[in-house]
Amino acid sequence: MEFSEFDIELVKRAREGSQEAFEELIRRHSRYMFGIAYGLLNTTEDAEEIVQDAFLKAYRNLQSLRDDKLFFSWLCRITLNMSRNRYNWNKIRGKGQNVSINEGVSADNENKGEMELLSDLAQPDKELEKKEIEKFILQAMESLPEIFREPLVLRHIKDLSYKEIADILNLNIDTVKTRISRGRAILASKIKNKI
Amino acid sequence: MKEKEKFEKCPDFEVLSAFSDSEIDKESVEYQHIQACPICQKRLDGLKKLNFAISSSLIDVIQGKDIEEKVIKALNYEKKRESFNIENYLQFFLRIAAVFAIFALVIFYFSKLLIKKEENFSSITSKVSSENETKKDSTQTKQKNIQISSKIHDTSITSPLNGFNINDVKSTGTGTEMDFHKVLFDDNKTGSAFIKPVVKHNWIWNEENKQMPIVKQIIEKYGEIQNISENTFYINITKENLVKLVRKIKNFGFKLLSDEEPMPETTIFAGNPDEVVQYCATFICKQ
Repeated sequence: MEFSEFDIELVKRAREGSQEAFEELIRRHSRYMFGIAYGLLNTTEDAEEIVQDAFLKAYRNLQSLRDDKLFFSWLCRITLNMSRNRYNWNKIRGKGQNVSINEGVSADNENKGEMELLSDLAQPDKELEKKEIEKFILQAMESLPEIFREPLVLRHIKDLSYKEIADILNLNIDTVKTRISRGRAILASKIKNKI
Repeated sequence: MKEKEKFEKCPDFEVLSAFSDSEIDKESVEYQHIQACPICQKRLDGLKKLNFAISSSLIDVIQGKDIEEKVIKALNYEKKRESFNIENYLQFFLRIAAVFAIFALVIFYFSKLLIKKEENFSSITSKVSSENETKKDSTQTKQKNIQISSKIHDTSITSPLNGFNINDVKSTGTGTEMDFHKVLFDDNKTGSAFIKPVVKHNWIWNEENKQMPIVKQIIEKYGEIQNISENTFYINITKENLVKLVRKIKNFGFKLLSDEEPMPETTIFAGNPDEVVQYCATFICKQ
């Protein structure tokens, strides 16, 4: 995780009341938070709103942060929780897709999808346009159950280690490992179907 | 044997996924297998492409976003709103302070008014005193006072004891509550009192003097006495007569225990002289 000494110093200064320091933290981390929110919600407006609210919440509650080094994971947790709430709200209002945790593909299908996708992606003549694939991936991610989507987004948005993801999501490392692989398998299967 | 089997068998997708994230121990059998197995390498290439596609799709979303400035704007707005709230609080406290200030001014005004009335009362008292001085030297004034005193029904009551003698009652006002009235006595003593609607006096008397029946007779001349107990009398009496009665009782040799107005020295009082008050006198035998 790229949370440097400089970031820690910024957090310290922000806690002492420096708004400039907090603004610098915003500049350095807001895009990643946006990526997390977007990865979970798949709408720009919602994600922007979530990031703004998450930073404001962090700003108001900065004094309650136990350790300056934990700022990033704390901010991630705030963003995740807000995104979850918004996702559920959207689901109630019928905006989002309601996907069961058990939905997706069976283990056999997963493996089949994985194998087919991997071979498809490996063949240059069947390669789709990059943008097309990205579009499919984002759509497929939106339909992923939360439990798979969250660790996957955290892993891919900032290359967080399994341990860091486990800390943020309050899970053990093995669960994170399983969920990431399951998420990827489901994604591979869905992308394959789209293609 | 098991290790050998493990090495020969391709690991499942979960291990491959962890491998692609560099989350597999390099010393493990799985790691060694994936490194060496061409099938796993092919699967791994596909998985890496998938990972790259996921990462790039997310990174593309955040690229070119001016989210930082939006968040900073929101932060500044929040700060502004906070300061606005402080202004609101200030306004609230200022309003409370203004109300208190007005309240204090009103209290100050009324206290000044009260002081002014007391000053008026004092000036009237001193005026009465000077009139007393004048009376001493002027027979005409005395005669006039006697004429006025004839209006009072109890002028016939003169004390046979201690030289008590009411000469006159002089009104200095129209009889409203805040007017002042003077009772003149021969000894020219001066004093003043506010008489409450209910006056209670405790008097000490000496049994040996046997004055108690006489006092009762004197009180009876002012109205119908009601005995509350053997030595406590209750009577409805005008303010003016009350001043006279108190003076009379004193001159009989009784000593007033309480400080309740009117004191025996009182020659002036506020309010309507004809206003009836309740007077309760208790005579305590001196042991």
